[in-house]
Amino acid sequence: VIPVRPRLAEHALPRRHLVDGVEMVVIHDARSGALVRMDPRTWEMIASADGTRDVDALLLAVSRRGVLRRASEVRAALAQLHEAGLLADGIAYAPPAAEAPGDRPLDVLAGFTLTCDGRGACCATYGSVLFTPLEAARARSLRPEVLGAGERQARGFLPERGAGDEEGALAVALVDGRCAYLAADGRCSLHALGGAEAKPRGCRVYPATFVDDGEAVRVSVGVECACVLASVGRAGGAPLVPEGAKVRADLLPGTRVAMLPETVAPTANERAPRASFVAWSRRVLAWIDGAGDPLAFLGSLAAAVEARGLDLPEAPAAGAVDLAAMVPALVARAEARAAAADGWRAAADRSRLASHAIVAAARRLAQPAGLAAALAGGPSREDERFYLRALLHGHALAGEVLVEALRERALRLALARAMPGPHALAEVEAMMRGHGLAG
Amino acid sequence: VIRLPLAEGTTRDDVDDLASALGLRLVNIVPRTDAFPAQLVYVTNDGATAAHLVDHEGALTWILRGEESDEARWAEALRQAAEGAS
Repeated sequence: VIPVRPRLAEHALPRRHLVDGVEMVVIHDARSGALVRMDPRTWEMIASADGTRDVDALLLAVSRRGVLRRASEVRAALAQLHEAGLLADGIAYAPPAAEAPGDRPLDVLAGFTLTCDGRGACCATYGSVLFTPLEAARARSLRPEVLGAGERQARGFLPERGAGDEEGALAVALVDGRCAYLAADGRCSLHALGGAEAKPRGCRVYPATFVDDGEAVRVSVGVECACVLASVGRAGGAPLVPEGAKVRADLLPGTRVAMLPETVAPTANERAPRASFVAWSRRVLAWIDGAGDPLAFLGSLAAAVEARGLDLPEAPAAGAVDLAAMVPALVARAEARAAAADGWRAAADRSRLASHAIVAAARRLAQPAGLAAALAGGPSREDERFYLRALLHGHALAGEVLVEALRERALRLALARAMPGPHALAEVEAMMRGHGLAG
Repeated sequence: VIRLPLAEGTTRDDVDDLASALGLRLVNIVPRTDAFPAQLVYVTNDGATAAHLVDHEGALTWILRGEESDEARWAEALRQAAEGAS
């Protein structure tokens, strides 16, 4: 039985795609990674399901918009979404998000500036490129011809999640996996026409991450773009925060600052106050440079946290890392993800290509020789040490069970080592977070 | 007012297809009460005529309300469309 007043649930992420010239709406389940595809006209019938209407009222709303075909089609589409766990009943209420105080000091990852290569890889990687309503209006005004979104916002933008609301964030339509405003030469057409200010804020601050840990706003980077790793050790790039920024209030207006939870989970059965976690991250950050092989360090750190919790007085001794047990599940996830991508993404879609590269690497790890080669490490691991610094400084593991997160990151390092290219780690990270490949 | 009974076995999908083909716009859905049968209320694309699809215990009937000439014109259109569909 479908909900009385149906709407897309908050974990449903509707995205408009143009795939090899064919338009479709894909509704991603942020919890399971599953997806439901529908043609744009069916989506138009579903888009009015915002939790305020029963099905009859929904039919009337659809009729008013002139897109009603058969009532049975509306019911069938709702039933399909409900079966996929993507519907909720009634209106959503989101409590206001807590905000970091304006005078909270910024603690910026030291020694890093970003040199963007301008090729737009990051603009062709993610399933969600978010705009505020104002940013979307500006983009539609600058380039009204893009997907016809100048006339109708929904042609170019859908709600970030669920049924959305008038003030909520919007996700831009993707053309073969690329932001609709990305030009053929890899440059942002909004930037080209209107300057950096014309881009959405998320793109302007990318790849910076912001987490308020109760003591400071940690500013770090997501290592999800090759440019990040290519920038390591280089000077002269763009800083992560505006010049002279010292406190939260100095950040770009509207910058999303995540809040570190009050407690974190060192192991599955244990909670620790966030102050302990912050202190732990500070200690571990100091150990990274002298820690030897980063992959082995992650493994021994996981073992130490498992044994002693966050109270580690000294760097753990290097030890063997047992990733073999984790590889089969990784292979299965990667194969499933690649098969799903093959089912609907364009052949040239960057994330589809990356999913296949990851399958190949995961299969290499599944061979004893391949895993041994990855664990053996290599001559220079400065990019991996940077990765650890960025993770820990940015509290990127705080939302997971720490021991599992450390082992998962060790696996990602091994996976990246099994892939070709100097900065495969960024591709692995982007696919793990942005495309639901994480364990 | 013109009454136009639909053939037995006409389904909701048939009605939706017919409405879509003729450009009728669904404007109200009235549930059945003790006093009145269920109705789907459409208006014609020129807005001049209302077409009530009355469901009286499974027997479907169009009731057209508008100017006399419009009613007759739409009754004919509905009749032809229904015959075409069958």
